Amino acid sequence: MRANRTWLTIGGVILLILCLLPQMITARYAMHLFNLAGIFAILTLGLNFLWGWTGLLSMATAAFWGIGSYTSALLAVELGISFWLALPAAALFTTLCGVIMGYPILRLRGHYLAMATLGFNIIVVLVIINWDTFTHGGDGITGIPSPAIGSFVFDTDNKFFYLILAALLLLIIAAVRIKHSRLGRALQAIRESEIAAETMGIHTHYLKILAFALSAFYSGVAGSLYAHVTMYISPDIFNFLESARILVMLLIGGSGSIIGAVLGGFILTFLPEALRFMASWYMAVFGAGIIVLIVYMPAGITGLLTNMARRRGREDLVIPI
Amino acid sequence: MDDILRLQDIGKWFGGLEALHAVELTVGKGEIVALIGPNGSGKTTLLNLINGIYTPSSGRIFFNGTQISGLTPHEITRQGIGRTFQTIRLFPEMPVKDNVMVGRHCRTRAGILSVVFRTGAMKSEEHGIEERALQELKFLGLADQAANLARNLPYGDQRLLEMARALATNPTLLLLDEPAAGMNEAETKVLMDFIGKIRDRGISILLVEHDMNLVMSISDRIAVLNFGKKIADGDKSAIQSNQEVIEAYLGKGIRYAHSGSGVGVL
Repeated sequence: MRANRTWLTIGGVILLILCLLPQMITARYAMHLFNLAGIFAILTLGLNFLWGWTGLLSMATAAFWGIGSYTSALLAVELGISFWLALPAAALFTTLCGVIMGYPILRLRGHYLAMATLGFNIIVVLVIINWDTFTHGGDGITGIPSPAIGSFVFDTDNKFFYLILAALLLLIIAAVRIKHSRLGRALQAIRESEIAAETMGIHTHYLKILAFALSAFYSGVAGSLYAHVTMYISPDIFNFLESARILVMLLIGGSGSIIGAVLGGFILTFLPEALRFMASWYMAVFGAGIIVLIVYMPAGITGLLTNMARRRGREDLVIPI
Repeated sequence: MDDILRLQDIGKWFGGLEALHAVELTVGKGEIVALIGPNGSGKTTLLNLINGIYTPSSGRIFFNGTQISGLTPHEITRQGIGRTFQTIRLFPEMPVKDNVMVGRHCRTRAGILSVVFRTGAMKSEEHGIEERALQELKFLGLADQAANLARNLPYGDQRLLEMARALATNPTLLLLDEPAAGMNEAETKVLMDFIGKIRDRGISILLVEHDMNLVMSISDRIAVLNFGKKIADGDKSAIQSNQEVIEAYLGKGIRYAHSGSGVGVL
């Protein structure tokens, strides 16, 4: 994959603007929204491995987000472990959970897979609520410490944004590398035709588990970041409706596209704010919007742009990642 | 015995339906064997059994002396059996080149860590994958379509793409399931050429086909299935004069004349 100079420049400019954002924004809530957008972008990237590339519809993204959050929070609050260790530990533990969920449901397709993952999400939330001696149950976990390097503490949303940006960037690069490798091609082959993929020598069971693992890893990272930036987590945050919302983010941005996933995360985080003037009409508009999206723009925003570019023969205008 | 493929007493039941009964078949090294028979006679089922999509209800399949019946398709592909499908099963939303590159999956090994950290080994392996894919595309005359999405190819090229993809897996035996289906005479001639060239590469071929011109021109040996049983196995003149074969295709009660070049109806 050759990196096109123009796209790199555009990416560089966007990155620069994002780096300057915390210096320009003073309203706490606005900065907090950007942090949330970054976290949801990571979650959506994770779902992209499963749904966008492999064709596995998972409704458990929020559960892994929750497992990552709780693991990191408990390590920090109960054992005093530093964020810099808690994050990787949470990510790895969440990955393990992803493999454990994925393994028994490998043979399920379509709606059945979605239902099984939905069930998993419900179970995870119930476990967190009821195992209260360990997880603090419905009270949630408060006082999750901010990360620190020496005496510098990431205790404001503006400072924390750099952590989220760095994580998002690294995870985007990893996703791009995976997409253009034999693994990424194998995952997409499974989506396109599982029988043909298996016949071309792809060990589909193993690769599906890899997809679950990757998705869970990303969710675990997002979870840890979330816990330490909001400093309070509770079980109800990680319900299966959030999983559905993350799916909508991927659909809006463009399923399969890396930039689409990030875009979807940002759009759906800011949309409720932009539509705040609608008050109680917001949910109705949101619901109608999803229907319109599925009918007229099933490939999402990036899909629409790609189709428009291709129809005009402008392959150079197609977003490369 | 130079057989690379040997089917021993193969039977396959689907619920109460016996799709195959006591089928014995061999493919020798460097041979092109055609498998023909009326629709529903079990030809594709047999191919599915060979490449592991189904497991035999009875009997065993040997490839280069090793038993492969019971292995999963990806393991069998790894052993060296490649395959194309009767109904085209490409990866439609992926570029033509990527479709063929997928064929290299079982011959390469970069894992998740070498991919994410983009090691030197992974980069050179990736380069090799791309090279080989372009080679196979060139071999089948599809090189200029490399960047096109597979679903945009015309039908005949899609069939050739399936073959390129299967060749990328480094097979020693290639299973072709009705490669000429839907092709006109010119396309079939091109296909025939390619099949010959594939054999020249040292790959043995088991070919399921309905196009008798193609079958008779290119096969070393022809096996005939009817209602799940093998009713004939021999060279083209043996098959052409075989009464049971003729009845299977054309029915009973018609008298036939046999001349040197084929069968005519009286």
